[in-house]
Amino acid sequence: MTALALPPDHAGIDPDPARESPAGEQIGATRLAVSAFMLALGLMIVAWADALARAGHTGASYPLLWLGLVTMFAPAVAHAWRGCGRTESLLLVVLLGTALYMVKVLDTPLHFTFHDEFSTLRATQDIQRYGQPFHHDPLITIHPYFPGLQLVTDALATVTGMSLFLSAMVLIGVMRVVMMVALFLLFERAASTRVAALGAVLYAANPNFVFFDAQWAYESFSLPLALAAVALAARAPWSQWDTRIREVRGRTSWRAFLITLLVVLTVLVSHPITSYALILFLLVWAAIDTVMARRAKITASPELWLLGLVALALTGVWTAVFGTTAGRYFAPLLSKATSAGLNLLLGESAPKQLFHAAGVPVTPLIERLIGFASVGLALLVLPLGLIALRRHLTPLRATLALAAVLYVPTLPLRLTQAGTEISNRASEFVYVGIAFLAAIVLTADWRWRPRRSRWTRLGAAAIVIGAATVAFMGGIVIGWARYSRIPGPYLVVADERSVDPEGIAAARWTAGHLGTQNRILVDRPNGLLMGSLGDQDPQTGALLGRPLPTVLLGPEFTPTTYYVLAGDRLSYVVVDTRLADALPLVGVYVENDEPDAYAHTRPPTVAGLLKFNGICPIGRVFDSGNISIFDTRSLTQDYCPVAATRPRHYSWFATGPFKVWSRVLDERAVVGQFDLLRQDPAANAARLAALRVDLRFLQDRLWRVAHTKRQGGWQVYHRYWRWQELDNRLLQITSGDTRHPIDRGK
Amino acid sequence: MTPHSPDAAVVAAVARSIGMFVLLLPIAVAAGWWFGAGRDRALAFLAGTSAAVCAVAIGGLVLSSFAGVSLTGWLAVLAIVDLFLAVVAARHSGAGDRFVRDLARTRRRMPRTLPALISAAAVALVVGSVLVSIATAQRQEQRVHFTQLWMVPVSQAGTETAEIGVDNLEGRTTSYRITVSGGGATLFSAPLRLGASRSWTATVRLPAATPRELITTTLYRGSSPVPYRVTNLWSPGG
Repeated sequence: MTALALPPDHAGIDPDPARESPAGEQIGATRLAVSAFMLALGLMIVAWADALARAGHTGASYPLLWLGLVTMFAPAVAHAWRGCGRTESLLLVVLLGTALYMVKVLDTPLHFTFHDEFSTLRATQDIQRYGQPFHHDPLITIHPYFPGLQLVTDALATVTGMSLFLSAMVLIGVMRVVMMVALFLLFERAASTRVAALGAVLYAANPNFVFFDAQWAYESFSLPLALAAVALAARAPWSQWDTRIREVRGRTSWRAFLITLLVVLTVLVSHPITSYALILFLLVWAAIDTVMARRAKITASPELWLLGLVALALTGVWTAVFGTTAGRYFAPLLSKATSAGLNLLLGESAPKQLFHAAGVPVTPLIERLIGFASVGLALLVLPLGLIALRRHLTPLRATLALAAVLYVPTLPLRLTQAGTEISNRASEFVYVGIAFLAAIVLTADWRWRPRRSRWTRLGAAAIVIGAATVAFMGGIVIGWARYSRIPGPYLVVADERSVDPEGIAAARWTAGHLGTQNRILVDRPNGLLMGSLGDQDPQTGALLGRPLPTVLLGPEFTPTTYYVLAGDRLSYVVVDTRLADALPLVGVYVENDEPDAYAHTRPPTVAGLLKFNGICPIGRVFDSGNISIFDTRSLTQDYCPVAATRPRHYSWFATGPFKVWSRVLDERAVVGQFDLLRQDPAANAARLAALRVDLRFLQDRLWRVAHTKRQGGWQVYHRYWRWQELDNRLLQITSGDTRHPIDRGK
Repeated sequence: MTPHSPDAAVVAAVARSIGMFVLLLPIAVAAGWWFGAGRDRALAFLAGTSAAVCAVAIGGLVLSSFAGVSLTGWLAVLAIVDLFLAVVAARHSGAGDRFVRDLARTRRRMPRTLPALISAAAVALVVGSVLVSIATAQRQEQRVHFTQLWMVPVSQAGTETAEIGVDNLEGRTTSYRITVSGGGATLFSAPLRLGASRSWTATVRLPAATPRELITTTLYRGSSPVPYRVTNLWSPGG
């Protein structure tokens, strides 16, 4: 049996929050200033850790980073736990949220480095270029169809003249403030000011709070707005449970409704996942409200239903317009996660080893323990919070509790590679409920009361602050890769750690010298740079079952290489020889679907990466040391010599025998015989000349077959490659010099 | 101060930021008053800021459907929203008076010296953190030195040429030697001396050959005989 430390007459709901902050409310200014100082001190320590990391002293920077983060978080928990006035609590919450946002700003203060930021940059640049959203974004295809963030950033940059980077930093900072205020107001309406302060502070323990949701990406923009919509709805007169239970029907405030609807509408056009989560929350809240109202024999709130259903209808319209794109984006993710989960359940695959990945240094034991402890604390909060709430349920509290319970089914998803991302991305939503329940647990007036000595109170405070800090640290351990938490020297395919001046300069060079929106084949980090700063179109996927990444990473230039380059109309191949230095830290070199993704055992070789060099007619048009760019546009032109170094893949020639006019020829045999005789051209001149007729017959046959649509054109059975190989041999006979041009110079 | 100096850029950015906030502030405040929440400043802030951001996003979406977004369009959107909300806010002007009264009363009761000193120290630490972060990030980038060499084919009136270029990003003045060779002959050769962040370009004609020949541009740094950067193109065929 428990009782909450809330006003008993309203079961925790204060109908008029302003009553708690009467005009002229005394703010604990010194307390608040000390908290602000601790936050600033923590930031300075983080900046120091970053500086050491940039100088290459990564060993010392990790402990310093933790020290800085704990210096920021623990005093804020202590302040909120102690309890203070409304304005002071609100300022504390806003200061903590902003300070933790600054951790990301200090990490990357000069330019964009996070994965999703580059896609947002591409979409925003397209808006600036064309004056409209909805242009193809090769980095994240769904981004242009949810243009809320891009439009507001463009407005800020256009009107103020600030760079996109600075505008983005300012905007996300403002959205962080909105998020903290929204959380505070929501929790305050659901319970009390003390719960609001503690809940908003504890929400920072969600794994994506410090880094992921601080990047310039659509979720960082839409999540605060979604929370604002829920907070505004919770504060509206028509959703007040306490007034309705006293048979006082809240007036329908259309101004409140319209503002909330405007915010909901913006969420719908800003981020798909957040909009689905918001609609689900609103509809569940309305349903619970209806059920509880029926039991209490009072009127349910039709406005909640109206809000949820209008949001659902608008999402339906948006999905109908852009549904194909959204479906194409989400379907593979969900399908892979589902099949991976089923395989795990059926015992057909082993569970993923947590905190272990190929090529990534093992997470220190202490961090792993903290990560597990944070999950344990979140799971502990659920039953305790539900027990504490059971006699004080309102529709809003029940909905928040349900959101928290959803945390449980997301955990098994982490046992599969495909499900990990879904589980991680659910954190910022379910933690709204978990933070609320945690604050309820910490402020509940439990019947079991130890002797209230000074030491007991101090001990209780230490346990609360310690547990909250462990949850906060564990969230970061779970949510953000260790190498990504600090800046530093270049690392192989490590997203923000792979963004360096050479890659940026190469990307800018492509925009200036190669034209824009060329189809290019490139690794993941350079693809982000080339696709945004370089305005190129990186390509992924496969061509008739031949994965594009294999072309980039394969050890030699094979007919498959030729076939994919020509067939997929790739204009350029960008090669970064640093890929040969190590395994990729994110698990893939190019894309999630590449062969051996998350299971690479050895990096590609430098020779393999540079296999395009010297292959006619591919030119190496750019070289900056680590990065080379190969021009593959003229691959379908002829007049190429047979390169002495070119690998001969006779198996790619058709074996036939083909009936060509009155002849019966075996393509592979003819080519093999030609290459054999070519080794001594002087002695075999007559026989080589005779083979010319056979080669010409075979080449003509290929041309005719390729131009019969029913046969699939050039794209089937490497026809163009075969045609060109035959043509190259014919050229050898015509010119009489069978040596490679390089050999001729010797 | 030149127009391109960092100081001028910062001044321009600050000036324009002020302009932007002048535009956005009335929206935020007016929306807060419109919501009738003068008694709850946190709610007023949330409603106002959310409404302002959302009005800009939806306004931009509507704008892009008709004329496309541009500076004029954005100013029009902001002006319309401002005007509309300002009219509504005028009906709730009493809330503003209450806000000023509350603020003055709060200030009178707040202790001054110690919190002010601690707050000033906190601000100094935050500013210091940002400066340290920017300075060390810039220093890290300056430690990365490299040179870009390129050779891009250009078609000019039926003649195949190539633009060759060098961009010195070594962080200091550097001497180079560049040679272009093909078919056993040297087509171009020149010594170069480039200042930091300076570039050099030239155009060379690509001789046609059948079969094609590899034309190679080699860049040597200083007096080293080892090629520093290499690019190549195949001569035009036919």
